[in-house]
Amino acid sequence: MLVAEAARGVMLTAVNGAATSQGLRPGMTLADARALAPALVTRLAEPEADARALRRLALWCGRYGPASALDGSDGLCIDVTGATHLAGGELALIGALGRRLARCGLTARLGLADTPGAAAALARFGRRARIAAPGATQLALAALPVEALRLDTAATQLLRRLGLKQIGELAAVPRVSIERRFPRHAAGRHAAGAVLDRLDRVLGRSADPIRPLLPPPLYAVRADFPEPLIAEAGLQQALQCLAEALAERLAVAHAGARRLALTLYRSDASSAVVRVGLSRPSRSSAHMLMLLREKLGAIDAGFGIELMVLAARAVEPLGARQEDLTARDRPVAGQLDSWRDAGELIASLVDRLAGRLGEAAVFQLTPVASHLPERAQARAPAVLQSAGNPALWQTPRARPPRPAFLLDPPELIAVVAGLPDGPPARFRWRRCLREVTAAAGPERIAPEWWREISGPKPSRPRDYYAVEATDGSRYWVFRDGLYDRAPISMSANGDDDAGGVTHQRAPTWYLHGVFA
Amino acid sequence: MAFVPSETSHPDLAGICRLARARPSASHIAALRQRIDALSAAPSLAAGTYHWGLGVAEIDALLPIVPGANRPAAGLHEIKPAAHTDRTVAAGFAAALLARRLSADRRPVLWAFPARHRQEYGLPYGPGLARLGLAAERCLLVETRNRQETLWVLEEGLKSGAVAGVLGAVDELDTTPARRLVLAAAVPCFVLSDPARPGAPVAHTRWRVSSAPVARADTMADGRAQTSVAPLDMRRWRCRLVLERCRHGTGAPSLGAQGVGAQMSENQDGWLLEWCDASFRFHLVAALADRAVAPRGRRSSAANGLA
Repeated sequence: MLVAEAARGVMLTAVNGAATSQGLRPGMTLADARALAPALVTRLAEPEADARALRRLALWCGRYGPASALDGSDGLCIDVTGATHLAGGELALIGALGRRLARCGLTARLGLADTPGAAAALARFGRRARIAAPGATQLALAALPVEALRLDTAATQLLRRLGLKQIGELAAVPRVSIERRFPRHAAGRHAAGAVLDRLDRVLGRSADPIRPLLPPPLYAVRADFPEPLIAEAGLQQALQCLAEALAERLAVAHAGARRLALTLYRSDASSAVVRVGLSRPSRSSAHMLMLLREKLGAIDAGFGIELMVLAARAVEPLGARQEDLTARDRPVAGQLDSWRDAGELIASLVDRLAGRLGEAAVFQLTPVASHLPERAQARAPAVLQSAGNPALWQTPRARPPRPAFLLDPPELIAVVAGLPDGPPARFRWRRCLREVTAAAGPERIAPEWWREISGPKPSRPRDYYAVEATDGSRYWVFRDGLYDRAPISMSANGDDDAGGVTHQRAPTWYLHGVFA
Repeated sequence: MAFVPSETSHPDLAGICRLARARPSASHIAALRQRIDALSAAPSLAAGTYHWGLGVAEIDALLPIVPGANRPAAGLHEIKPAAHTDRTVAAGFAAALLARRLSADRRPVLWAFPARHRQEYGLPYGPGLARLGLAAERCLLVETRNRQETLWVLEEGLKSGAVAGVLGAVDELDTTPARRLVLAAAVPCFVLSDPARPGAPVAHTRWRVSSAPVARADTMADGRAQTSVAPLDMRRWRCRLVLERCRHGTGAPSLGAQGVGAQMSENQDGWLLEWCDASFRFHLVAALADRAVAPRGRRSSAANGLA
């Protein structure tokens, strides 16, 4: 028994068969239930965990049909159009699914019909006939009560009062009569329209699409195994066949895959997914195999894998390419075949590195149009292949040179320097005292005022110096703030003073980069 | 040659026709080869062009060369800083070597470093690398978590054939990974290692880099001690280079089978190299460079930059 807190006290939300035979129903308060059956075992209901488990079950049911969706909080709707022959027919499908669910410990009622609404009605309210013959939906549903249409309670009560207790009776009445029986105001007309629309959808007169949990992939190949596979060698072999089949499908459609998803369905109703991204659309089975093989080894096979589905989730057009008659699988290192595109080799190298280290670990530096040094470059993952405008890297000749390595964030240093704008004579960085023999600068870099108009505190202008220590190593240091000058700010800075005297912090020195 | 094409207005074809009428000789064939190399996409294999090198003739003469061809061999080259503070100079030196690879090859270069390296020195900075000649858009950077991953990245980059050179910051290079890199290396592989650890015995060359001051130290022209901070010319920087080990190096004709042992004993202090921003090259600086009297001999255009 599952209980949950409600407005009137603790109520039962779910009961099992034994409790039902003793007269307990969901919605009964716990006190009444205890009165009826003193030996009651209760647990707290966890609707979120139930929803998650139901979602996992819906994903697992993807082995029976291309699309599966949640139906309320305690049901699933699986679209098995065109897939029933794989299980040996509709009756065999229902039987197999029922047995699998029973083995997992779930009691389920199943229904199969032309439309989702009719199937749900048969599953929840049907007594004997669970499968509606194709085209005979109305006949199959005729004996079911109108509650099976899952209308709102007001409409259902009205239909009952009208004497329409079964779906067959409702379907037999002309539509205009139904509309006239509902109240004349706007809400009543809306309710009448809803009833008729629902009836049309259930009986198949109008379309009733379900929204599947996963969009059906256009390019997917599947491999069923008669016995569950545990050994990795078998999985690798199956993966090779799948990759070749997918490559053929993509070749027919002149497309290349950008994202692949390999789903492995285990025999205990769980599944595992391996996802791989490619930097360039590719339909080379060797490349796809190489990327998937490494991750396949990390998957736990559990009690065995019964079904593997390889799908290309994102696909881009890829034209045909002239193949070289003497093409090798891997180029001989050092020689660049003039027929082969150098970009493809780079892309496959980037894919290999990114597949193992992560997409953010393999990157390129892209220039950003900003004169603040720390904002002048950005890290772009190489998988996206956006190199930016290389012309932005060129610093004008008049600008002082920049260091080869930039620290982020700049580190605080203690400096002895001449005031007001002399270069540092001596500084301590990371506990080492360094004497400065020569310095170049200062180079004034002002903050980007347009970014700080509404900011909390304006930044201060910086004076950059390139200094050389006694041993020849060069550093790029800057002084944040100026001496004896009012800060240049666009926002009101004097919120803690009166009379126009602005308090400012003393300028601080930082080390921003190291020269080669 | 049996087939002699007719005269056309295409310049190269006209040149080939002229060559075809003459008797083919070795120099003609070499010239034809050069032209084919220039037209095709393959990197140039013409004799005398260094695939990689410092651009300084004395040092390049000592590098190990491919037997049969007159070009330096690709292989594993270890670059060690002399002290802990020289690490960035060593990295800059390695980046400059990589940049020279870029000028000879169309492919990009790969630079792998562990996250610890980035935390200590920061990321490579694009404008700074551009000053060394390393175009950032042709540079593929990989940040790894530990040494094994860095070595794996270097090996993958070498085996793929997609890069012109690889640079890895590996603190210690054991024998087995070094041997794998040597076997896979068809393009030069530069490894930055720790100054304290022993070097790998299978590396083709081992360099020790330390920074060298450019500014005058200690005394000024009239003998007084230098106390204030002098102005710094940022257009050039210096480093001291010692070639500690060179396997199979047969560059200098005076050396025998034992390699560069004899040569190295003269160069224990190493060469003093100066990088010139204007020409993106290293130049040798003689020992007397900073003195007032202008020396003669092996001085190069570094004289232009001196005050």
